[in-house]
Amino acid sequence: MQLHTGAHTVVSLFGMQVNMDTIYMTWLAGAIVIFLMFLATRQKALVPSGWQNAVEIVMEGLCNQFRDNLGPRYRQAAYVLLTLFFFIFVSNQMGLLPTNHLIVSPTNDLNTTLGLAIFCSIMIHVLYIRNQGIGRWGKHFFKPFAPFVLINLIEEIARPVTLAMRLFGNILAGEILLEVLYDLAPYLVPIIWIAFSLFIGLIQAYIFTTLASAYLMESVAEEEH
Amino acid sequence: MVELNGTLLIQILNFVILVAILAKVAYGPMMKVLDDRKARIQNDLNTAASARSDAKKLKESYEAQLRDAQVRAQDIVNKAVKEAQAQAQVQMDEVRHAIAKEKDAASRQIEQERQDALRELKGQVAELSCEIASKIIGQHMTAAANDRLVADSLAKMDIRKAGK
Repeated sequence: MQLHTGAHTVVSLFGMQVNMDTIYMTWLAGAIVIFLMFLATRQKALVPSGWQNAVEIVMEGLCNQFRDNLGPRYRQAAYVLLTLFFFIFVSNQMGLLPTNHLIVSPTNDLNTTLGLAIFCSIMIHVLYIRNQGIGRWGKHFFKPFAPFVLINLIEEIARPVTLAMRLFGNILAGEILLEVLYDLAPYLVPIIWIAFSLFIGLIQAYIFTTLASAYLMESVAEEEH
Repeated sequence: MVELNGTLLIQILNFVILVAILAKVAYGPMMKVLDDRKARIQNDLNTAASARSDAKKLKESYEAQLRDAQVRAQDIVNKAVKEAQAQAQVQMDEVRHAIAKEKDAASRQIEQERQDALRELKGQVAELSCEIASKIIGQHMTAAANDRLVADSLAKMDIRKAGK
């Protein structure tokens, strides 16, 4: 049995190997998110209804959680975290469409998930320096004691790697299992698994976003006096 | 299946572009709508609280005015009652005084009339007595002797009366 899931169309671009299917799917996912957001913000009604109401509920729920995690400066990271949630959620669901591998999840590629995680990691350090100063940023690697610098450095690397691996593993495994189930027990069993995967896609998007906001806590927190 | 390559950098770039587009076309306007709504709700709540406070103050003011009006009305009633009582007392005193005055005048008139009647009676008694006495003793008395006798009798009567 030949598995199609996880196989990529690789081309050479600017001297780099690039998974073009992942890039196309990322653009598609981005376009879907932009379209959905456009629908929600088209009217900008003071009393929301329909799709605007649904998106506002999700946005307000997430923003409230970000405010709880990050404090009053949460808006510095809110746009990135909201985009993470919507993009990962849409991406995760794309692979569940019955398109015979024409449309796949961009999040089933480690390059995507690690790219998102590295971006979050860079943002964490940029916001740390911006809000707390470069001195405190340098010192935070040596907390609580100087010998902890090694553990702290490992943690700085482990955070984006675990973040990326968790999402990538869940989505890739889900899609592989779905492909296997299509071959082994068509129709009923894959449908049950798709229903479950819809839920997993939502949960994974939420977990990625929530963990990223938790990692940002120290960077965006109000300066201690 | 698991291979890191140039896709990673392009994905970071893609994500940055996506964040920029969404921030411009979606999050900015939507956050503005949410903030406006929040501000409006807060404003409405503040206005309602202010209106409630004003209404409460107005109610207290009206209640105070009502209490004041009731006190003033009671004062006016009390004052009117006192004035009426005083006026009634004055009228009663005047009537009492008038009655006493009339009573005195009536008493004096009665006494005067009694004195006059007594004096007239005395004269008639003396004349009758002299007439009876002249008839009894058969002696004709002159007018001068008669008058002297009457005057003496009257004097004796007065002395007797005074002795009693």
